[in-house]
Amino acid sequence: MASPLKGLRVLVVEDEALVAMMIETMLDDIGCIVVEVAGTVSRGLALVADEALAVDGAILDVNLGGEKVYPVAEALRARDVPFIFSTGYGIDGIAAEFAHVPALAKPYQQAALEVMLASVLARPAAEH
Amino acid sequence: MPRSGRSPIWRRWRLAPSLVVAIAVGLLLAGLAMAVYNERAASAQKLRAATVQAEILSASVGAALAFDDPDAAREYVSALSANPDVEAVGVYDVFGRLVAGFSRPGSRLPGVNRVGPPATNGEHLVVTTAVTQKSARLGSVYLRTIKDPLARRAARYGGAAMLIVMASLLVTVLGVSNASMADAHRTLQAEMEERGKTEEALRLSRETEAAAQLALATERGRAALHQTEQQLEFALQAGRLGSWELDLETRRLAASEFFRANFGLGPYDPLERYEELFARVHPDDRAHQQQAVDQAIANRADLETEYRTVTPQGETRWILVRGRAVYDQRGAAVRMAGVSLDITARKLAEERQRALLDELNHRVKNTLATVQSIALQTRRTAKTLPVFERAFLARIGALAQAHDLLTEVAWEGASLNRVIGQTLAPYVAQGEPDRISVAGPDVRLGPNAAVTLTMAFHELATNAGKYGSFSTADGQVDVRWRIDSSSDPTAVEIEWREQGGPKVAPPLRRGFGSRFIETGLAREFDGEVRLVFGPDGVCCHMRLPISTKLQLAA
Repeated sequence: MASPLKGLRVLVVEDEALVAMMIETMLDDIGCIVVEVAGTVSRGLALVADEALAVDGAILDVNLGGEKVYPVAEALRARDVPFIFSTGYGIDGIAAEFAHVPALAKPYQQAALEVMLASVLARPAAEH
Repeated sequence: MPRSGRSPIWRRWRLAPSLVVAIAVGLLLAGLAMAVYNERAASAQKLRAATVQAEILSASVGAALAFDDPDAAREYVSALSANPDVEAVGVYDVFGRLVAGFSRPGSRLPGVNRVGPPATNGEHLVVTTAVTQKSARLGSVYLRTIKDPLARRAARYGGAAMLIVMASLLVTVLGVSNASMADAHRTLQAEMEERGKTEEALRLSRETEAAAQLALATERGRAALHQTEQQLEFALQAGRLGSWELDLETRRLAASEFFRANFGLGPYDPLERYEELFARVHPDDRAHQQQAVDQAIANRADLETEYRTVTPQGETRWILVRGRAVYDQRGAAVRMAGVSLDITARKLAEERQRALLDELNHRVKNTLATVQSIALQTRRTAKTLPVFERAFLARIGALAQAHDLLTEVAWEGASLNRVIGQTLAPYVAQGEPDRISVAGPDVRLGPNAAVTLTMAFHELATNAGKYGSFSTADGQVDVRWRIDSSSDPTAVEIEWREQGGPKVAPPLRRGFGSRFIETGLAREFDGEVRLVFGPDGVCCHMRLPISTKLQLAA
């Protein structure tokens, strides 16, 4: 069965090594290609700013060691790259500006990640 | 006394009954005396009249006797018989023989007339007179008349007596009625006076009682008020409560010293009007504050609102304001009064508690995600369930240790030294402390960094225990770190070096541990990690730039 997400290039922004590795593993299982994993906002911004780096979608941890991930989210929006949030603070912890963005509450299962990712990546996936 | 100022006329005749009796008796006695006097006067007059008649007759019959003319004497006698009072008349000669005479039936003339003084015989009056002419005695005259007849006298005195009796009766009746009226009046007056006294006493008693009660109540009220005021003052001071009162009509505000102090204002700063207070409310809280006041008045409910104020010194404070409106008889709110309290400390504590709870929730969720990840990663590399179980539980144990350490320092700045020391402690416990050397400057780790480095050193130590320095009796592990301030940003260089262990060959397949250290750790810190499986033993070099999660101790 060909997942609609198969082969999509996904950027992961997550500061906790263990959680990042798990997301990586899950995406791997889903069939996505993990483009990069950024542990900091600056690293994330650098990656998004790299025009040469093809990104179909992103999973963003909201809180990166005290820093908010929103600058990365804005940059992704500017590039028209869809993304979802992954947060340990609950849905209420997300800024009003991004309240409409789908968010996964940690801890979550691979199936939930797949469904939510599919909901935002459906359009780009169709184009590809 | 105003009541007794006007005195009725009878009140001055205090002895009226006895006076009345005396007057009546006096009248009767006077009447009796007048009757007696009148009777006597009438008798005397009758006597004079009879005497005069006798004298006239005597003078008239002188000639007749002198000339011995009995007819002439009879004419005089018969002339007298015309008087009905005359009962008998007789003319006698000098010898005393009857010459002419007249007598009414029932009366009789004496045979011989003896001249004497007038005589009264019952109802009859007898007068005798000598008839003389020039000192010569010629004879005598006898006249017998009746005094006033009883009926006539009775008729004469009856009217007067009746008048007197009537007057006496009238006086008596008037006197008695006067007396009884006076008595009644006196009784009434006495009763009225008595009643007046009673009423006066009652009124005085009531007034006294009311005054006493009022005084008591006033005294009690004053004492209670004083006590209440003192208690209020004490409570206000002890609780650092400000008090305020607002006239809703004039918008004038009366604020206590503490109220002003709550807003960072001194006694001379302007705070006389509601507008001046309103201006002190944080602009973002003004609408909310005004709404709270309006609703409290409209709903007749207590006002309770919290808002921020910025003091003239620039400090932001939270103020709690409680109050209640006072309404007039028409139900319109006229005043509002209440207290204020600086709740900044409470607000900060609340915010802190809220943040702590949020943080706790966040950490639990993150930890669960971490556990989930450990389970997932361990499963992918473990060939059997017992292997999985052992590795999984060991990793969970390391995670728990990291949490213990973080809890010790309240999740702020765990020391790198402690993280490494704690992770390696189980291997030191074998009684050979020289096998391990841990040294480096004080570096502080944020919660995530502490967990990640704990897991990293756990993997290194576990690997050493299985295949490296900790697997033999002579193996040694050195962990050293230093600060490289030549780079920007400054970095911490950590080196894990195993020595004296069995010969090490690079693993055929990268396991979770090496992936975690080389990839996960490096990405999390945005640093570089080299893991070398050299022939002398495993060597791990980490270069971690300074960041929010990895800081040099101050």
